[in-house]
Amino acid sequence: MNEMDDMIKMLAESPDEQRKSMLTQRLKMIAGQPDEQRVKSIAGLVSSISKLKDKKMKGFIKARTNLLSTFPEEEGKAIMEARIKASKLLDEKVNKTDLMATIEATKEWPEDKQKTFMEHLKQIFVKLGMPMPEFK
Amino acid sequence: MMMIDKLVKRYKEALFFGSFLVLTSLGLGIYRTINEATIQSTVTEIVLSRFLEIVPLLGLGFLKLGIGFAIATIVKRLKDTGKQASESFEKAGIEGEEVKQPFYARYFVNFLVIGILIELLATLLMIAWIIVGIYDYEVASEILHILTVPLEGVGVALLIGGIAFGLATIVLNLGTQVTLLPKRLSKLVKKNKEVEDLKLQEMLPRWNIGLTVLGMIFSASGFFPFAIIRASYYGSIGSTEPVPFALIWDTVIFVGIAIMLFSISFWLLKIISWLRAQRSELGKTVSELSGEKVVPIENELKISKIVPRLAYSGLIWMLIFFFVLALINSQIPSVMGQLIKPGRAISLAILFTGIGLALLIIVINLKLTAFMLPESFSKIVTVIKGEKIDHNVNAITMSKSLKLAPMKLFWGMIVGALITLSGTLPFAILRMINTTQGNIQIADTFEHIIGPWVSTGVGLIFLMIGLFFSTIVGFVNARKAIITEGVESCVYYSVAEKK
Repeated sequence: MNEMDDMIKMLAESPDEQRKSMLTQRLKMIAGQPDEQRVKSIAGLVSSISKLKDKKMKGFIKARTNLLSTFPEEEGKAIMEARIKASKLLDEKVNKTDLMATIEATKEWPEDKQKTFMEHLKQIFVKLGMPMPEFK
Repeated sequence: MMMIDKLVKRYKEALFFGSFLVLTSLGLGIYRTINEATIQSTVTEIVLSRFLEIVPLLGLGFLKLGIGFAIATIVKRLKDTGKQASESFEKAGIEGEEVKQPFYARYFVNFLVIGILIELLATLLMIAWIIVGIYDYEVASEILHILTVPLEGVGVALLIGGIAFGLATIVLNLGTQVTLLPKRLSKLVKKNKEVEDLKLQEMLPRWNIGLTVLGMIFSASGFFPFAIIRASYYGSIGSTEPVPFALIWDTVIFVGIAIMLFSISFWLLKIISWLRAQRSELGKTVSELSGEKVVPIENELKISKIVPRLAYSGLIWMLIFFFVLALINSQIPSVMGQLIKPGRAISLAILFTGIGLALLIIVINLKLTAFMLPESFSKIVTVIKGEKIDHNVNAITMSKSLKLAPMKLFWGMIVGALITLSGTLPFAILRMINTTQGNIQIADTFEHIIGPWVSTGVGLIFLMIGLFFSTIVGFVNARKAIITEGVESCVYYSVAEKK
């Protein structure tokens, strides 16, 4: 059992405002971590989110994705890069579900914002020398 | 030791097994009551009456074991948090003296294990008691009757005492971390390496240790010396005449239990005060390091003031009313004596309601702490990196913190308390009225159902307490993750900055 499981469960059940504030602080904290630890923290976070029921999990990922888009560029990129690196630490199915739900969440954004996000994502995959999966 | 570590993790299994035994006893109690006329003076009646004296208590014992093991899990996580944070600080050259763990912190899990083993031994005595009952060995049967339940009391003393000492260990470790963490973070930023002075007596109220021990002595005294004296008296004289202690020994056990529960209420209150102190001290440190204004923590919840009142009321009820009633009844036996056993449950229900409220407040405080910690570490890391704090990020405000309470568990405890109370009102009162009116059959029916019914109420309370602690384990895990990650980041950037 992941140490963050209960916390994520509690956050998923909290009112929107509290969840948003807490998640912002948690992501800010993770963004400020050293690289290696940031990857582990993100892997832990994704793994805990994956244990939520489908509807709550998708809602949580949507909130996380929307929040990240409000972060300063440097912090946002650091988190996204850590998320891609964390793929190696995660179960394949968990990784894929999380990435798909993330992309799904961006579909509600304006087109240009969506495009920028996908370009950033592509750049990260290129930088890490990893093939970018098909998000369909 | 490894085996005990493995056992401790199985606290949920212990909780559910305990509940199963209590519910089985309730089922058998109902069966005995319904079939009263047909099973009277039969082997079934002998087996059931003796089984129902011990097995509900054994079930409650397993529930207490589950609670104790959940507390041991919390202690382990707290210690791991402290150890990992200390190791991180050492990388930055900040070393501190660790608090030496006192005897109760080292041995409380052993108390729990020995407690349940004694309860199992009492169950073996019960089986012997059933066998001698079937073969009609009167002297052996009476001596086993005298010894079995008080021996169970020794197990209860060790189990509840173990829980209280486990909570004292939480207080000690939490207090240490609440005191040291802000100081060490401050040193990390200010490059100060003075060794901190940590006084054990400031961490926890030592009077409460004495109170826990006193409660354990009272509960165990039902067996030693009372049961030993009674058994020797009966064995030598062979008489069923009451000896001086015969009618008050079990009240003494319950006075001990009430003292221990009173002590537990105050350990829980101390945990609440340390959790609040953690937020306020960390907030002050963050503001001191970042130059921001101190954000005050939320006001203390009004319901926390009810906890000590319930603790005092429960203890006074047990001490004065029933202790006095038991003493009077031991000299001048009357029908009022029928109120003693179930009436003690009123005291337990009051004490447990206070404990339930305290646990509710602890969960709220843990949630508030979980909300606050990432923000604090994020700000300290920003200060260490020499960057500007982003004031656009909203601080978490919590005007209605009661909304964070796990009310389902609390209401579960209240239902348990009401079931326990109903053992007196109406059951014991109806039994008393029927006895005075000469309706002995109806009075006996009430007598037979009261025990398993009250045990079910107390069992439900214990199960809810166990589930409360299980929830707390989750938050202590999250706290560990955030603190170790946060300290590691602070140390990383502090060391990187030096290079």
